Amino acid sequence: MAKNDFAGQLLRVNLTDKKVTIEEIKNDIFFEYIGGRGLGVYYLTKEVDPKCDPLGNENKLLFFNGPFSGTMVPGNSRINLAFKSPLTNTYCYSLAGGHWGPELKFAGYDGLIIEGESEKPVYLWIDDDKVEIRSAEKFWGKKIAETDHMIKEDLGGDLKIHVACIGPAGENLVKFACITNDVFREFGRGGCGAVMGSKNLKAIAIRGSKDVKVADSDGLMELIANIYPKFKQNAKAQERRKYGTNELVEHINNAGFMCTRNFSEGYAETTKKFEGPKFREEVVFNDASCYACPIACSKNCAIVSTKYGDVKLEGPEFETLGLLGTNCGLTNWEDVLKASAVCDALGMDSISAGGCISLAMECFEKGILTLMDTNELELRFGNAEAEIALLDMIAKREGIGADLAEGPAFAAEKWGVPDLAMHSKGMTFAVYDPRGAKGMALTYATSPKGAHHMLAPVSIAEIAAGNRFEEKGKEVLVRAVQLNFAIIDSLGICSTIQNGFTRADQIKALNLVTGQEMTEEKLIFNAERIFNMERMYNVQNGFSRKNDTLPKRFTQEPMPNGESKGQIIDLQTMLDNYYNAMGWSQDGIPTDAKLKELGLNK
Amino acid sequence: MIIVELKGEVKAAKAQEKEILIEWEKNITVLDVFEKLEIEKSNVGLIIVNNLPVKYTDELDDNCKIIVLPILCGG
Repeated sequence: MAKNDFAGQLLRVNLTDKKVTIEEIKNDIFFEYIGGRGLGVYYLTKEVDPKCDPLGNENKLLFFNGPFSGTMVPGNSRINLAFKSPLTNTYCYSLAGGHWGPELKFAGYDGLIIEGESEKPVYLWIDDDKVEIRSAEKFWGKKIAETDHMIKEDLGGDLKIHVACIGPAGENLVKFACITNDVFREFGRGGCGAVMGSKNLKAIAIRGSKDVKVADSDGLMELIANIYPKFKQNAKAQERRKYGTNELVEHINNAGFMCTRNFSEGYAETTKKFEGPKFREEVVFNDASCYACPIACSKNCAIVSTKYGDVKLEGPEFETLGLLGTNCGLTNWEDVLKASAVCDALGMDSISAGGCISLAMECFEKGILTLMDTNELELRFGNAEAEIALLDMIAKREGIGADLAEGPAFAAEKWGVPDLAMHSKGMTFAVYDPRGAKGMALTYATSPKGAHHMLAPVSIAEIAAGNRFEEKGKEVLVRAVQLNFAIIDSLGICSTIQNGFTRADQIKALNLVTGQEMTEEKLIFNAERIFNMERMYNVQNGFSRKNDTLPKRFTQEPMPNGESKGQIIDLQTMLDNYYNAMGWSQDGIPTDAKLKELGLNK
Repeated sequence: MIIVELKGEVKAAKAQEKEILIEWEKNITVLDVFEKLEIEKSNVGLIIVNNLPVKYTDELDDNCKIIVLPILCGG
């Protein structure tokens, strides 16, 4: 049972009537929903009609930290944003690392809800108890880094201020626009930047100076002191420290399921140039970390380019390298870094942007799009200059950029080639082609927010288990990992920190912070409830099995090359088994018995 | 007997092999097996027994197979 008085503060800002209020998040809500993603779905379900227009007045942006936020518990930087997605028309959540989430906690808030819409461009300034809505008219149209800098200047130049903002893509309601904090940390997927743009909200700036109270600070510090040395001894943590997420390039490309040329292939010899050691040697100049993270997997990169001049950025991560890089046929760091930097500056999800560009490239190469359609851009795979120009056109909604700004499903439908858009529920797939690790087929198809890998990134487990081409039994693995990640995301910790920070220690830390008596069984129960609530939000909007899809490329076209050659996916049989494992009907809807078990029946 | 399969980065201090046989005992739990083999828990992501995920406190039947998978993280 929950005990003690751990409770949180929720800051609510209404942009229509400019009202600012503070509410309590009660202790028992934390015990049932943990924090982060759990609180996100709880409040979204309560407050946002599943049938609302995602770019209308009724949608909200619901930011929630995890219970560890602002402490020294390792990896606790992640803040969750829940919203209805304009890209997929589903429930959506997006997580961001960095320092903005903890700064919200230092200002005294565990959550922030933005509702309504402003008549004119504004930004929100949260300075501990002082909360102001300020004009952003002079910042409208500015790119991400410029906005970050100008807002800090507007507030007196204090570099301790952390800013989350949208770029031109969000202002122009690009359906996969992101919200970016600290210049390079994105709430990437699902188009939250467009939701923020629809509210005429340019940025949220935060400065906090309050202490973070925990139930047992001595016990917590003793536990943390025991945990931190484990990261140095953990091989995976150290590999991530050296190469970041790009340590995955070698494993996934060699296994033949790395997205290549709009997922038409799974392997390229040229992709070897992007492997971790070459990445570190050729473009990384130092490491960066999120708040309270000892692994420091972020990489600051730079290149002096004869084509583009100096290019400098934090990143790119593995997904950006894949979707803007190999999936668009790019073969060198100069082009990948520049494309990543441009996408970041405009404020777009690099995965979805890459998926749109690779769609356009395949259409151009097949003669479906011509030079007349593309404003004379030679949109061939590997043409980085054309890719970079198209990124700009998407952000500004110019030419075919206007079609692509609506998402790959819309563009492909309009161009008469719906099967060439690589998406599920409108969201572009991540790097992992599921023909090479078939558990990912279920991860993508059953995700409540569309084809996002982080609901259950099982491919490495499938490679380790030696059964990646098997379909039978994958529902067990995917379900277990979906529930694990619901816990991770609700605790507000980075998944990489698990390499040293075990579940047992996570539970000890949780109880020392909150004073609760959480158990592993209760955490898993909460996770299952969270996941079913996410599903039910979509069910109430008419979603069912018919929406748990994969494109024909995955189900009917055998992988043509590499170590996954010949593979296709029998999704329907996998879905039958998955729904059984979840306690859902064969139409993909949680049964009354399952809802009652989870306390969700009304 | 219990078969223990260690996948990926998961290692046991008490055995070099990746597939290990140990004696079954009444009321033996997953945690007991891990302690016998000195499996480093910080590398462990998921534990599957007979196609179902299990916890450290779960008891094991004779002739079961434990598959220990590495940690899964983002990227």
